[in-house]
Amino acid sequence: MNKLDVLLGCIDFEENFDNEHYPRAISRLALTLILEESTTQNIKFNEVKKIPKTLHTETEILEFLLDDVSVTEKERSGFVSLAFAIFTYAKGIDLAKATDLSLSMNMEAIRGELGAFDDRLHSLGRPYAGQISSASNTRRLLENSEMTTEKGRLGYGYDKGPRCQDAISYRAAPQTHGGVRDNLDFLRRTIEESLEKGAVNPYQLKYALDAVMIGFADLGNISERRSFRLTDSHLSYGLPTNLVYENPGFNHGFPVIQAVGTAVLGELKTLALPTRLYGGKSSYIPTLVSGFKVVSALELLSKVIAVEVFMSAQGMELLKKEMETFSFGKGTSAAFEKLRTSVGVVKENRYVIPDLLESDKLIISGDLVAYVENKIGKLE
Amino acid sequence: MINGNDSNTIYIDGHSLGLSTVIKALSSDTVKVKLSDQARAICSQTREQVNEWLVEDAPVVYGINTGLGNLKDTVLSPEAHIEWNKTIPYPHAVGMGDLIDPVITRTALLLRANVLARGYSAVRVDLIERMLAVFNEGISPAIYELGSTGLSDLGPLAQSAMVIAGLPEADVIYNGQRESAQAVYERVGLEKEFRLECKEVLSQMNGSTMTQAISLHAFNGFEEVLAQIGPDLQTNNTDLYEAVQKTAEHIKQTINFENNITCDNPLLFEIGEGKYEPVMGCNCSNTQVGYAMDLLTMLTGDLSMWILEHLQSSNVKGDRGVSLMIQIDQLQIPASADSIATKGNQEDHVEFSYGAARKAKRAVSLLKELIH
Repeated sequence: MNKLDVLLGCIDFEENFDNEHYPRAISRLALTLILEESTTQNIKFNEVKKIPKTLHTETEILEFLLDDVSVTEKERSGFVSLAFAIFTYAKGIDLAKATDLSLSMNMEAIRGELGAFDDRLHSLGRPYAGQISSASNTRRLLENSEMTTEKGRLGYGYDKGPRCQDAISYRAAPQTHGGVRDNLDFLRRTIEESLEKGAVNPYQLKYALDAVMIGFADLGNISERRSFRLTDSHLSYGLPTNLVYENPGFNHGFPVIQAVGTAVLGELKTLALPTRLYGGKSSYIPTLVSGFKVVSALELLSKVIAVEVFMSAQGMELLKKEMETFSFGKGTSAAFEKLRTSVGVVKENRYVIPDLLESDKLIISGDLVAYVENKIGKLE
Repeated sequence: MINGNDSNTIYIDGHSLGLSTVIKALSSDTVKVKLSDQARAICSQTREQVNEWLVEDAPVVYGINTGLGNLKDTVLSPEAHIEWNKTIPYPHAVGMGDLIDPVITRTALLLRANVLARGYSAVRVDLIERMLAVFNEGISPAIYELGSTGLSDLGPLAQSAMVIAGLPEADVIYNGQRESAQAVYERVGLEKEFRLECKEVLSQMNGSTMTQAISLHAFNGFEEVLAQIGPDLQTNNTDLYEAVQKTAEHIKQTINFENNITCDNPLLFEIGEGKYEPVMGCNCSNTQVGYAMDLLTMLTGDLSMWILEHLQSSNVKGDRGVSLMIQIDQLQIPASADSIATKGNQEDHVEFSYGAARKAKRAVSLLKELIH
């Protein structure tokens, strides 16, 4: 195991973000990176302070975290930024998996075609590692699904014959989801190098973080469009308009819920502007600002994915109503099961904010993916 | 790859075409590009499978011997395909603005031939050789620069396909002059018209090969800048130098990797005993290339700030330098972080990688002005 894997293994990741602080895991990472092992053994990690968002430089943050532990100047260089980067990498992978999951659940809802996820198209056709992984995850999540077969499509009745290819946001998901993973890999290699050297190149880390940021915006782009499709009966290949469970017209359904995802995506995108180079030679200020930025992006991206999961589950519920005997996939069934323990179906005009908050929590904490992985094994 | 016995011939096989080889192929009249024997054999095999599906009584093989849309369950005869293929480039061959730099459009011919050389597209060897023949004569398709979303470069590549076919409205740039493709072909001794058979229009269009050509040249230009300022940068700011080198290396690897993938649909895969099956999917998204081009633009941004502050050898001082830096700064918004749905929501996520590549090319040329 390399140093990064060791760190990822020993750090407990915070469940919730709050508006005033950065996640506690970042403080834990920073302390572990900066302090000697002997010192870190004495730290009670549950009691480590969360970094307030009113602190803006490495020096300020270190002074806050280390009130009575002295650290030399050399040890301060860039390790707070690196802590933000490691957190971003770990959570980024979680969200990459969650997006493969939200895609898969949405694929159930639209009874999508699995052909585009055929391994050969990726391993032989365009063998980027991230693309191969994403396609593999999707196939495994949908294993045993009858909904995503010709039988399922014809059984529901909207399709009268073979589909003329699913929309790009499904069919080309391995490519986009894969590209984002490849950027996360670029970040990973940069982090590993920094850990090996014991030094952080401020520019290199900034480029890797800003590249990951673009990927996060793009994941939001593709997920949001898939959620959008579920509100339109034609685009969803026949689901009730606005995913209304019964009594359409009286019951409103999901249009405003879907728009939440769009609104969040709008804010996520504006974070993609690369960080400018100020602060003097080899300053960590821009690097740290990129770190702040991607951590904020994680929070927003989680919500876009959560909307897709919430809506896809509703779509799956509507299919179940019509086609009781048709199975969902091993992974998507598990996700549906876990989601339904705390997020209900929407049958009438009811208050859904608790469901939205809970869906978001299940995504950003990694709990939904973890439950699925428990059932079908680790995703890539 | 370059055949060891003859350094004037470059052989492409769809797996080994790197940036430096492309530059070499472009820069010399005497260098010719050919299809490798191995690739020729593989392409012949996959095409043979397609031919079997084109005989009378062949089963419906969607995307191969059928039409599209309303005709998706209808088997078309080979003759019907040929007639259809004469028209189908037109609704795709769209664009606006000025013409793309002819070096770039000529590059795209080579890159697309390399994609097809991989064999998964199952086009005829004849088509690949036609594309290489046009390339080797130094002919560049005349293609309008605006209008591709990067989710395939349908507009630019369909214009290129018109040139390969020698369709009446197809123009080329030859020796700096714009002329009709047919006129130039006649003069240089190539077939005036080239018949496109089943699958051969879509296989020319269905990928982001023009974006790739623009990206390759944008990056090549950036390497020229680095060669010039590298020594000063390394002395003055080792961290920045190393970060730029590493990130540039990552971008270069992406470009070289993408040169040798199959962006086309459907693809044929062997199922044993010389038989193949078609698989419909996608692969027209060049996601990583869009990201890489926006990353390249980031590097130009940082370098422009460094140059203005530190580069002793730069003659560009004062207001002009500041203006160039600000203009490069204005290009920083990443095109690939955005997407807008097209085609009635069928193509509801696009790369905007084409725009990212154009932007990076512009940023690099501004950077060159800054160190002039």
